[in-house]
Amino acid sequence: MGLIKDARELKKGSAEFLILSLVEVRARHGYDIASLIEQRSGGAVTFHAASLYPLLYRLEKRGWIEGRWTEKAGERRRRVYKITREGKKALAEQRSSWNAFVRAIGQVVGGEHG
Amino acid sequence: MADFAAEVRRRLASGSILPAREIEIVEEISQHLEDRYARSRAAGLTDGEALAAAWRELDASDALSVALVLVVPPAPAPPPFGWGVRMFPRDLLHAARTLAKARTYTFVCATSLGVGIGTVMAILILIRTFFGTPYGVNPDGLVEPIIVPTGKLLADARGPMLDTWSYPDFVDVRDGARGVDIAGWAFGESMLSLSVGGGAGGGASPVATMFVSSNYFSTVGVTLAFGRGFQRADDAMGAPPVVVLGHTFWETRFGSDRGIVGNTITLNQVPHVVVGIAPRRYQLHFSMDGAPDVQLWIPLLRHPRIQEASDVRFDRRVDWVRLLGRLAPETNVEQADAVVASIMSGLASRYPETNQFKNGAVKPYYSVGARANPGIRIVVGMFLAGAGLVLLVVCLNMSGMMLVRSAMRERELAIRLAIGASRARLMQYLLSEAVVLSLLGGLLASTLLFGVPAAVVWWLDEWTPNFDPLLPDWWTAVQCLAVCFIASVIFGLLPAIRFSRPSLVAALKEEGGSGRRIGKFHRLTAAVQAGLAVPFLIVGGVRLDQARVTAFAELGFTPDGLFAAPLKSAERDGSEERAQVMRRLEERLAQTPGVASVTFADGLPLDFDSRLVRVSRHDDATPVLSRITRVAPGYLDTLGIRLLRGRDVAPADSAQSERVVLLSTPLAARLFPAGDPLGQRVTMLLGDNTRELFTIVGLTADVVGNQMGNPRQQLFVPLAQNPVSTVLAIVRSSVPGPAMRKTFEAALIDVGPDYVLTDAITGDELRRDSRDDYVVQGTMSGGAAAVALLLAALGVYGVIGFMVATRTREIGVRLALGASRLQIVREVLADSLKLVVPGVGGGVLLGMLWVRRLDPSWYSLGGVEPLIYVLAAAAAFGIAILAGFPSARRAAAVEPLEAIRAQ
Repeated sequence: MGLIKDARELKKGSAEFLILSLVEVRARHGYDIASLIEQRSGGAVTFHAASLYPLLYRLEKRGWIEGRWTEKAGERRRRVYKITREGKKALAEQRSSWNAFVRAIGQVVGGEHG
Repeated sequence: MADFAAEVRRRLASGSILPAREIEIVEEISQHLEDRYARSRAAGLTDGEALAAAWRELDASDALSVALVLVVPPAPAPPPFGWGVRMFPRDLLHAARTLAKARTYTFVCATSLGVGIGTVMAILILIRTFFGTPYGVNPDGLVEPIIVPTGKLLADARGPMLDTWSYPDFVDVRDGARGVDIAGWAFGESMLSLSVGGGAGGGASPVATMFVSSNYFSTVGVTLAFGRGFQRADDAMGAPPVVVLGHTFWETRFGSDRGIVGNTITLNQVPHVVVGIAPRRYQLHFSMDGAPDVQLWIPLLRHPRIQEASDVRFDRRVDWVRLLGRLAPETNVEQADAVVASIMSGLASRYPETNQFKNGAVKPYYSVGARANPGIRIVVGMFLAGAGLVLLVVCLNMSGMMLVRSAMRERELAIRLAIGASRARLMQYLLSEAVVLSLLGGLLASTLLFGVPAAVVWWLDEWTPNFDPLLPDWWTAVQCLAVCFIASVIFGLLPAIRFSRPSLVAALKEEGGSGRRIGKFHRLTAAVQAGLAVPFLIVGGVRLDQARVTAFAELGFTPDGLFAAPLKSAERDGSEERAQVMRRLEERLAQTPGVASVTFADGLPLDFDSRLVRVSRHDDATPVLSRITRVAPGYLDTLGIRLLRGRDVAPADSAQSERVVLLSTPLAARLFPAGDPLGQRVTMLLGDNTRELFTIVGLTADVVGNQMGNPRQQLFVPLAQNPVSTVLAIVRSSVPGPAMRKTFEAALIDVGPDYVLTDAITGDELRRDSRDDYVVQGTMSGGAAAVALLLAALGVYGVIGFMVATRTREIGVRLALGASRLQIVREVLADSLKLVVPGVGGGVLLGMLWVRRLDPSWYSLGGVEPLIYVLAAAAAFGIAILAGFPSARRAAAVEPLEAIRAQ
């Protein structure tokens, strides 16, 4: 039980991290975010709308991202999300701890194999 | 493509998310699904596979809702119980302020609601006045003994019960009934000597009197204002005459002098001791249309019938006493019924000749009398249904008007919903506007209903008991409030439900109010109202034309130069004394210069008195209803009625001679379609339920009946053979009316000091009253049509206004595409016309049927008929156009770009 819970927490933390990373460079809409995650992970990580949007709204509520409706000529309006200053801070923290985590894992796993 | 938005909305329905936020979420996630679907299709998936991929995005049915509830700000918690009630006064205040800004709308709504509520209130007041328990009566335990006729009595009874009893039957039932105290009563008239105390001279005036048994007041439950009242001893034959005075009579005739009690007044030339004064406002123990204005109560045995022939006390053939009973505390109606039935059954075996077909029964007290009650209940039901219908129509109109108003305020209402107002709150607010409008309508109706009579009374400086029902009281106020409440709920609910839907918020963004359509029900009511006005207009038009015809019609008698005045006497059945007065008056008047002839009768043509009698041929029992006039010799000559064959009534036609009758041509033709009526015999059922044979001695020309429009079948019988209590003296002269009146009055005082000239009428007045009656009927019908047209106009305004309000975008687009404003106006007006066409068509048909039912034989519609139909239909169409015009103008004033952008 404890293991599964930890895994969920891990995934949850990763999901936030992924989203923040994707909106760091430029503002993106929900479908764009989901597509990029799927595409870049080679289909290994997918987010359905049912879980993606609650996550986006939570990040928005926390003040890490900001959503706004944009309109382009000949297109429907869309809601795009961009990272906020707080989001950037949080992303930097998450990124450094993720890097530390990956390094640590790499050291452990790499040490075993050679 | 599937409706992703609808599915997302459905899945969110269980979450309590703020409506405005919900709209954004639905849009965003449904776009996501659409993108997923589009990409899948682009990747070569089939439609079904692409859809499945899109639906997978939503995972389990409640996943989205559950996940979102955790992160999205929830809608505010519902207010605690009772909060809405506390907010209601504030809503009312706000609604009043909003309505004050929309003055025209408020004025139109309040006025038409006033019409509706006023009609309902007026009908409730009418029902209370005519059929309610009269003032002072205690209806608990009050009953009415009646006779249930059987056998051959049933055939003549014209109903399943009779309410008059013979005096001896009354006495036997009263004395034999245990557990119920029975009182008897009968109407009559007393001649009050104008000099109080019984002094000679001064003339006499007739006063409506109720002759009652001594227990009458206690049975009814009325306590006299003061005085000992009647005692059992007053019931005895030969007891000293006593009288109870009506309160108004005591005030007006005796200046509220308490000293009159114990003193005597002279009635029918006999001093009566005043033993009491009836309580203020008490008149009768029952409601009866046309009941006399009773001012005196006298013991039953002093009734003129018994005074004239004391044998009537023992005569079981003549039924004239009506009964009333009060149950003893331990008795119920069924027990009393059994008691009276058993007494009457005993009387039937003892007196089979008179009582064989009379069964006794006891009915509960009804203010209109047990006999009339079943018929009256139907009438009351019809009145109430009519009132309800008017209210319903007005409410539907109001509902239509509110729909228009709400449609125009759709954006405001949507914003209220979006920023968190609950549906219940919004409904409460919309209903509070309806309540304010209803209260305004009720206020207007009450002001008119109660204010106008009060103003009239103030103007005349006189109050009569007739105005009493119009005095506002708490019960009327409760009824008025109830009607207002019902009205506001009926007309406020539909718009409130419609414009508080959560989908309204979607409309705010997506649809801009388009797509709403006025209900068929509203369209139908507008059409029906326009249709209803048409028959009234048609009948009003026909009535006015009848008035025109009446003014020039062949009447069958010559009204010019006629003068008639009633000779009222307490002596019934043509006493010798009155015969002498009549003779002397005739001689005296005949000597007056300018007087051509003098006669007597109990009525005149065009006198609005129907005096119907059933007449049948001697050899054929089929009865024909005919108007009867009892006439003295010379009647036909004086009236200018042509005698076609046979003879006029002659002085030789006395009470002792053979009974004779003269028929008018229409009656003769009806009774004797072939063959000569002269010398034939007819049967008539006269007063006291006795059948008598008459020989036809004359035929007169066709002469008008009691009113121009009514059937003309009539007959004339000698007054001497058929005496009545009130006789008209009729004079033909060249003397003008006012001068004739003076001459007549002088002659009357000279020949009969006990007679007074109460009212008189001239031939011109007869004709004018008849014509005026048509004008009044025409005007009333026109008034009803005006109200119906007003309601129809409101209905059309509501429907068309709503249509325009909901089609603003379409109109804007069409204007932008080059449609002219005139074209838009024309189209909206055409819509108004289309709305009422079926109703007007039906209305014309209804009017045709109605007119044909009314159409009397003497009046032919002729060329005026098509004109009236065309005018009535044109009026209805005209009103529809007028009602549609404000909306047409609004439609034409739409700014295309603004309409399209705003929507």
